[in-house]
Amino acid sequence: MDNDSGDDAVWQTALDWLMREHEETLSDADREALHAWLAASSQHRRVFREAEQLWLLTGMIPSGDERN
Amino acid sequence: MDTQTWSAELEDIFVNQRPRLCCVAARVLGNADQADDVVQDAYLKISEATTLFEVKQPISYVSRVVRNLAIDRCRRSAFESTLFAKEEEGDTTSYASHSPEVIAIDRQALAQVVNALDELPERTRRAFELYRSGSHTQREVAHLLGISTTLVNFMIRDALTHCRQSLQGQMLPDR
Repeated sequence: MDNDSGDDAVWQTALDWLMREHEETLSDADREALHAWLAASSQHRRVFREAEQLWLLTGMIPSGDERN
Repeated sequence: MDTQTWSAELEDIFVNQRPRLCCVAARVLGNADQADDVVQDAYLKISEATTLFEVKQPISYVSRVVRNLAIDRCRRSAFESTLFAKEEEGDTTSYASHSPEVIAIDRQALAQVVNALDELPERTRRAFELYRSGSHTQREVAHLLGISTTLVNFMIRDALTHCRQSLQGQMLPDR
């Protein structure tokens, strides 16, 4: 799979989902939509997995207030 | 706080504040069943990451990591049961490899992400941190930094994309 603009669009969509989840603005219908989006293509699943792993890693980093 | 003191403090939190941490997890998960599991997962992950950064507000940090892991667990369990079931067969690097028994975080990847964030322009890094770790909304971040919400949104994406490229070992030219 080329890492071209198509991949970037999928990446940006994956980030959209994670940001909305972070902001707790996902309704049940939204989660259904995310489910459908993931079901639609293996590229979506692959890129989303990459995004959620990175998202989790960034969540391990202390904020400035929490850091020495 | 040196590493040894931090380890002792960490242990103390996970022993004495366990009920409170389980509550944080249970609130996200919607039930208490997996809460203890998530808290234990947080303990192991934080222990592993412990020498990468110093933490001065341990309770706040630990609670936040527990919450993040609970959110992650929630999402994964929702999709694992259906969507990824087929793909997982015979695929060891699949979604299923992030099930509870796989507790280790990729320390090297985490260190790389820390470095990648440090490479960002100061304001972008700050915007991302306020959003991700400071639990501020994009609008609040915009207000705090005196910039537009649209710009904050771009900065968050830039930060994550830069981390992604760093993890992929790619140095893509600016477009």
